[in-house]
This record gives sequence, structure tokens and C-alpha cells, in this order.
Amino acid sequence: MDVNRRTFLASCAGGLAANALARQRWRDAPRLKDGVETRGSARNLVFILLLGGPSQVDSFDLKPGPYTPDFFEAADLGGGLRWPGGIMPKLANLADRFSIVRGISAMEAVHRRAMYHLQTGHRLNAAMMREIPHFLSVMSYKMAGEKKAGDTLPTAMVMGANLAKNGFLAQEHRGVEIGSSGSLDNLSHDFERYSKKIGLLQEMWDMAATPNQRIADHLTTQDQALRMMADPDLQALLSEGAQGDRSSNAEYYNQDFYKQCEVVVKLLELDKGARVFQMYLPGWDHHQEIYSRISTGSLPSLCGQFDNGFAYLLESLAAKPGVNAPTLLDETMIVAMGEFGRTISSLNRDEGRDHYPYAFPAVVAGGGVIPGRLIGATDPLGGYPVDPGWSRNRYITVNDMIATMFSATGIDWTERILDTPSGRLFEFVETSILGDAFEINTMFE
Amino acid sequence: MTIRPFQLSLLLALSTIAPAALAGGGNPIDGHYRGAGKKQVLAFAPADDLTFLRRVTLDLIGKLPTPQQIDAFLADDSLDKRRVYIDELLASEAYTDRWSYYFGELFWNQLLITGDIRNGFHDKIRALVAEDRPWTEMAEFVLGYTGATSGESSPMVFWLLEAFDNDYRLDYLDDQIGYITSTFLGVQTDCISCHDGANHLEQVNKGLSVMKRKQFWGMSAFLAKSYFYYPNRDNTGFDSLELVDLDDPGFNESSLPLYVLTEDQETFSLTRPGGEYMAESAAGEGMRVPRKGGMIEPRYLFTGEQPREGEPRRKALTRMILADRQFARNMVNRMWSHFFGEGFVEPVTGWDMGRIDPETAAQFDIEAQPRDYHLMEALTDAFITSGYNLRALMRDVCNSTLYQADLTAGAAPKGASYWLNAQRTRRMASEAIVDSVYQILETQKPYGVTGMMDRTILSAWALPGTIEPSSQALNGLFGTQRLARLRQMGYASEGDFRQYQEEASLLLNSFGRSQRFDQLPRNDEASIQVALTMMNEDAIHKRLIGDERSPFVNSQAALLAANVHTPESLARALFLRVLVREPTPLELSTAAAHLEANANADGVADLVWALFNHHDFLYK
Repeated sequence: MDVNRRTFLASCAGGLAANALARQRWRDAPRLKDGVETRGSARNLVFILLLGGPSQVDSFDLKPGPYTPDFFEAADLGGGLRWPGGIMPKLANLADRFSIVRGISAMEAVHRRAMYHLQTGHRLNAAMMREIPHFLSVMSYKMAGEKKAGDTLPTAMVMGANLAKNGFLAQEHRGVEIGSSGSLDNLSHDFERYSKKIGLLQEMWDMAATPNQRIADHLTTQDQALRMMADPDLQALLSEGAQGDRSSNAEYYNQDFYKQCEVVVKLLELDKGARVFQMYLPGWDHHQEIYSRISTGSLPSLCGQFDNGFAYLLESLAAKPGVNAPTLLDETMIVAMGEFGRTISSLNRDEGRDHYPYAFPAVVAGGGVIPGRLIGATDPLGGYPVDPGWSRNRYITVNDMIATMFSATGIDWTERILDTPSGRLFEFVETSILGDAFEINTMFE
Repeated sequence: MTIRPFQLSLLLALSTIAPAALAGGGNPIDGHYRGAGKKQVLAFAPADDLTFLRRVTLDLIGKLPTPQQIDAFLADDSLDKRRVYIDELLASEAYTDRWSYYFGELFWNQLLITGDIRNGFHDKIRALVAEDRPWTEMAEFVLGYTGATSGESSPMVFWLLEAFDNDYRLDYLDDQIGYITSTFLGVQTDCISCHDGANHLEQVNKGLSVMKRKQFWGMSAFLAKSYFYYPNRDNTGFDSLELVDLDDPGFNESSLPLYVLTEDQETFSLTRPGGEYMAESAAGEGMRVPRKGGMIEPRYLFTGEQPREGEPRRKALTRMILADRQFARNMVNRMWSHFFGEGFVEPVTGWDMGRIDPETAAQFDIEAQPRDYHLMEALTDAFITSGYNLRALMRDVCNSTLYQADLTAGAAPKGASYWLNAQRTRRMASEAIVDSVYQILETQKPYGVTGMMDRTILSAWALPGTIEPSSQALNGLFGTQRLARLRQMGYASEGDFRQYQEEASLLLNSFGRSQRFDQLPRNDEASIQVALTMMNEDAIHKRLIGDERSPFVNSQAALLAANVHTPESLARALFLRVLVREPTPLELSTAAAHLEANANADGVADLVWALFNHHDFLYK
């Protein structure tokens, strides 16, 4: 099929290039379940990937022991929440603004596999890796109909490490990858000269056939890039050098995460079409010297960075009006979690903790989440869930967390697609050895 | 587009004449598709000369044909000019660069502490590629190596990759086996290094699903006699490290103190190493779940074969891998993936030995895994018969009617093979983009490479690793020596040199070259970031419109001003130079009108910029 670029673009509503070529061979699979109710309480999603496996017993499911350093200032904040106020002081004062899900089970204990699982809701399978999308891309796909004419950004934006892209979904659903300090290289350009050059380029493109999907994908990215380049607001926000003094809060270590938070808040406020985000705070793989106060990569340092950024997110989003709700926080679900947890009780011989997948927490807020709750409970050492914290008679898994994010954004996580490029069935959230995934209703009810 | 007489004759001839007449010999690929009794008899129309020229030049040497090559090829009207051109490429220095890089990437060759180890390995690979040595010889060199880390040529990077990350010996051995099977056999066996295949891998890999963890240990046990050690405890520098086999008859233990790395949790130990794979480990020892299996005998994973009487274990493993037909298939598949965009099995490390052929697959009640099993086996036979000769394999591929076919929509025969579908279209490799941009703009300068400052390296494919080029390369040069060398290389100052290396490195990374240190494979997917880099990155931009404008742009503008070039002739020349194709009449008139209205260097630069950002430049 020869598609002229002009007709090709014209066939896409409002120039928002929905790739209409080969990808459309697949179709929706018949529903297995009827009457799945989605929450639909969040217009936006901010998913914070705490890569490396944060030590739950030293942070969000604090289990003080002889190993806990004094400077953690472990304290009971009421309602059963123990908190290391010494390393996360701001959030200690905002504990009524977020909730914590405890005792989540990961099915993987190796970084790469576990991170992939968390980003896709699927266990890593090399043969299928290329066609499985990031769950944010699935969200983008389902939100495609809500795109506005003036939107200059794709729906999904991804900061930091990313093992899954748009997979078999159209190019437009691929998350824009932003640097971990929140900037996008080469967005800036010489506008004065540009119109002539781009005019020539676009004329050339218009004359050329779009012979196949790979080239169509490339053209989509060029269109997206041009749209972003033409938006002065994005220029001001995302260009290198645009950030400079935006980060007023310089009291903590590495400022990258804080900058990401600023960018996300601003992007939600600008409402340029980006609605689902991955943010990135890596480095939690503390096999050694986990409590070091010297190392900038140790747990206290990372908790400080998280505290600073997350507090900013909560307060800024709560202070800004939403599109459909009183505040941006009301319509933006925030989920912060690692890919698994770490070993419990005393430290290993290197004064660190190793991988441990059986009971780790997520911090959740906004977008319909009822704040100030502790969902689920773990045993006194933090090793296993003793109360699953929801109506299902089993522990919560990573798949349930992803199902919940889908549900909050109004997407039926039990949807399936037939005939992916490899001829397989694609489930939004893979059916696991435990069976179906469910929304964690106790976050909202 | 007009059809040249040459093409016309091919079009007419295809259905009647034997492919051998076109390919200059019995081509196994053509034979497969067109031989008597074959199911698939397909008449492929050949691609036009320029399409062929661009395709084969990019695939074999990783860059665009130069204007001289284009002119010469178009002017040549001999019937076997394609075969001759392929042979020229195969004999070129650029071929050696490109394929040395390929194998450096396959073995993740990289800088460890100093550049010497990496560079020695690189040079050895280069020699093997240049001298057309068989794939078996390269594999044997890597797998069977004993001796020092440093020196003229040592593949120790391959053996050391996991050694420092992993201080638990059994884990190291397991990791190394996973790495060996995926590199040399295309099979990722790591899964069964932690658990049996049953109840885990049924949906992932049929062959592995019926294997046990103990069988994997049998593979690891082949490495159990191999140790890194320091001959001299007072010198525990990297270069003094050696790799030895305790069961090698040439190894004399009494003369050597064994300060062994990774024997246990210590950095090195004085105790005599055990030399066995004792599958007994507790939770917390290493990263894997505990082992309980006692002493493990070496047994080849896929056959159960054991070393011969008196045969050192690692030599036995090397022998078995080289004799394994999968070893040949793996390379045939990797080559097919390189030339056709997708292997018979993809990803190329995703082989399922339970689905290797229709009969085996039938036992699992599933179809065979390779896309075209019979063609794959025919090529594997040809590869083995040729003595594992890589050039011969590439020659067969590039001369085949299938490879030279016209892939534009509508040209392929109805019901054409999978191989003619869009998979063939790929973005240029990062290194090819950078080489081509610099070649087109005539701005290529020698790269600075750590430990190779005495060489003149003019291609990204000639780099020995993926942190190069680097301004660190200057570190070994001092004072006047440094300045003199920089002048020689054409740099005005040290700052000039540094900036050039950093820009080239940035471009190479932005376009997605692999990152060998992190073992991240190359990435050629379309993304907004790549589009932005191509349009706006200053390292390209400043050579078009900025203060470091390319001499080529200036010279073309001068030719235009002096009426040596008309707007039409310059437009056509630029299309040929950048896109390696003729402009369509509409493109020609548009580009010429642009040059007419902007008959200056800016105008030329803008057209080159537009062509750089055209998908016919970035994609092939």
C-alpha cells in the first residue's frame, strides 16, 4: 500500500497522527467478564519508579529495631503509622495527605525482570518483549479519544529507565522520554530561520510515499517533535538551560527528582495533552552501607530526595485548580513504589540489605485515593503480610497495583486484544499464577 | 523513473534463466527459492542500481557510498558489476572496520581500567576479520584462551565481564555459561540457572522447559577448573591477572602461587582452589537460590556429552560448542538478521531448542520456531561446508536475488515471502548516521581513542569501544608531544580536539549505539528524541549554518554562484549524495526553486538539512 504523506496525515483526525497502517490488524478480544466497574476517579496519573528496591523496613513500612539509626527519629505518627521523621521530615507533617499500601508481593527478585513487570504488568519474556507496551502506553491508547486539538504533547511521558516502549501500539502512544532532570535535549532551535527550512522539509515529505510502518512511525515522531518545537511554553519548560534557577529548594543533595516534580506539576497545569507520567528516583539497591550519612546514594539521602519532591508534588498539586475537579491533586493519582523490597531484620555483613520480594509498600495519593490510610499490614519484622488489606482473600501483587492505576484512570484493566503482531492475545494486565488482578478497592472506599 | 536496459533485461530474464548466471555461482538462497521441487518459486524483481548500491554498502561497510562510488557504479555497464562491487566491499578496509566492530559488540569488548586490554582484544578480532579467518577460529580463541590479561591480544574482557560484579564463584561460573550459550549458540539458558524448567518455562521456551537446573550446573562444571589468579601477590594490578585451567597439562601448579580471585568471598585467597562445581550453597551466598546437588560432573547441556579421557574441561566445552550445529546456525541467523532486518529466529538469542525443527517441535505439539527452517538449514550447510567462512556467507547473501530484490510496494510478487515485508526497512545504525553525516559534509577528523592516539581512526566503525571517541585519549600524551600529535591530526587546539570527540560521542549515543559497559543493546527505534537530535543538535547544525560551516556546503555554494552548478544540477547532486537516489521531477523542481531563491551557502545548507531529515536518509 502506497500512502502519500499528505493523504496519510489528512486521514488522521486533527493531524494527530494515529498510525493507520499495518498495526490495525489486531482487534479487541471478546470480554471474559461483564460489568467490570472502573473507578474513573483520576484524570491523570503520576507513577514514581523508585528503582533498585527501597528498603521497606527503613522507610514506608518502618520496623524499628536495634539496627535502626537514631537519626531516623522513628516515631509513631498515630493511626499505626511509624515514620522515620529524621530522614523524611516534610512528609511526616503531611501524613494525612497520602496513604500506604503495605505487603505487596513482587513476583520477581531480579532488577531487570521486576522493573519490567512493574512497567508492563507482564513478566519478562524475551520473545515477546518488543510487542508488550509500557502500561502508560496502554493508557495513552485508551485515552486517545480525549486528545484536544491544541495538544502539543503525547499523552505519556517517561522519565528515566524504561524497558518497555509502545510495543505493538501506535507510535503516538510511546512515552516521550525526558531526561531524569526533567529536560528534553534539542527542543530549542533557531526559530527565525526555521520556518523556511521546515517549509522545505515538509514539502519534501509531502512528495514522498510512506511505504511502510517503520517509516510511518518515524514520520509520526517528526510531527510530534515539530509540534513540541512550535510550542513556546514547552520551549520555556523543557529546553536545556531553561531550568536554571527554577529549583529554589537547594537544601538536598541531588536535585534531579525535585526538578522532575516541578516539571510534572507545570505540565499538568499547562494541560498540553500529557496526562500519564513515569517519574524516576533510582539508586535504592542498598546491598552495602545502607545507612551511610556520607554517601549521597545511601538510603537516608534518597529518602530525603523523595521527601522533598513528593511533598512538593502534594502541596503544589493541591494548590492548583484541576480541569474537572477542585484541585489538580484531586484528579491526579500518584503512586510511588519500587520493583521489590529488601531483606528484613538485621543488616547483611556489608551493612546492607538484599533483594526481597514478599512484602513491600507503595505510597499513594490523589486522584480519588482516600488519604491517611494504611492498607494492609505486615508482621512485626516486615517480612510477610498478615492482613492483605482488601476484600480479596489473598495478598496484593504488582499486577493489582497496575490494575488499580488503570481503574483509577477509568480504564478496564481486564481488556484484552487479539492478534498482536506475533499472533498472541494481549491482556492489559497479565493473568498471573494467582489468577485475575483486581482493583485495590480500599484505596478509594 | 526510466528503466535502464540492464534492469529490463533482468526483469525479462528472471523467470527463465538460472540464478547462478546472475549470482556468479550456485547461490544457496536462490537455489532454495527457485530450485526444482521447491514450493516457493518466486520471481523477484531486482532493485535499481542506486537502491542496491545504498543497501549493500550500508550492510557491508556501514556507510553510504561516496559520490565517486556512485558515479563509477552507474557508469559501469558490465553485467556482473554487482558481484564485482560486492567483492570490492568485502576486500575493503572499511569492511574490516565494520565487522571488527560487529564482533567487538558481540563480545561486549570494553574498556576495563586501562584501554590496553580492550585494544588488544580489538586488534586480535581485527586481524581475524581482515585475514578472513573462520568463525570457529575466533570462537576457539575466545572460549579457550589461557594466559595473561594484558598483552598483544587477549579476550579477557569476555571472561572478566562478570568477574568483578560477582564475588561468589558459583554465580560467576553460572553467569559466564549463560553468557557463552547466548553468544555462541543463541540460547539464553540463565533461567535454568536458578530453577528447573518445569512449571516455569512452558510458555517461554519448550526446550528449556524440560531441562533441569542440575543440567545447567553440568555446563558450569566445564568452567570449574578455570581460575583467575595473580602470579605475584605483590602485584595485583589488572594487567598481571591471568586465566588458567588447573587441568591443563601445561599448567604447573608448583611453580605458581595461586592467589585466586573469586574463589570465595575474599578478593583473593591463598588456599588451593577446589576445582570442582560443588553445588552446595546457602541462602545469601551469591544472588541465586540455594544449590543442593553435591559435586557436579561436566556434561554438555544439549547432549550430555562428557570430556574425553585427559581432556581439559574448558577445551572439551570449546570442542563441543564448535561441533554443535547450533553454533553454525547461530551465526547464520545473526547474519540473516543483519542483512534482512529479522533473523530466522528473533531475537537472535531467543532460540528454543525444543522447536528447532518440525519433528522436535511436534513432540511439544507446536510448530517449529525458525521462520524458514529449510532455508536456514541450507544456509547452515553452506556455512559449514565453506569452513565457517563469514565472507563467503555474506557473499552468498548479497548476491542472492532475494537480497537484491525490489522491496517497494507493489514490486514484490504476490504471496512473496515474509522476507520481503516491511521488516527489511530499518533505521541506519547510529555509527552509520554519524559516518555518513561527516562524509557528506566532509568534516570527518581523526578520532581520539584511549591507547590508540598513534593511529588515524576516521570511522565510528573503527572505534574499539562505545565510550570512544573520548578526550580522555589525551591522557597518555604530554607537553609538546601532545600538541604535535594534535596538530598532526588536524586540530587547532586541545579544546578543539576535546569538543570534536565529545560531539561525536554525543551523536553516537543519541542515535542509539549500544552501551557495552551497561550491556545495553543498540536501539534504532523511532523516537521524538531522535527526530529532535537530527533536526536541532548543534553538532550537526553548526556545520550547516553555524560558524563551523562545512567546507562542502561552502564549496557547493561557490559552484552555484559561479554557474558551474545550475540549481537543478546541484539539487540532483545533493539528492544523490545524501539520499543515494534520483529526485522525482517534483522534488527536483522544488529543490531547484529553493536553490534559485537562496543561491548562497545558507540555501545549500537548508537543502542538505532537509535531506538529512528525510526518511530516505535515515532509513534503508
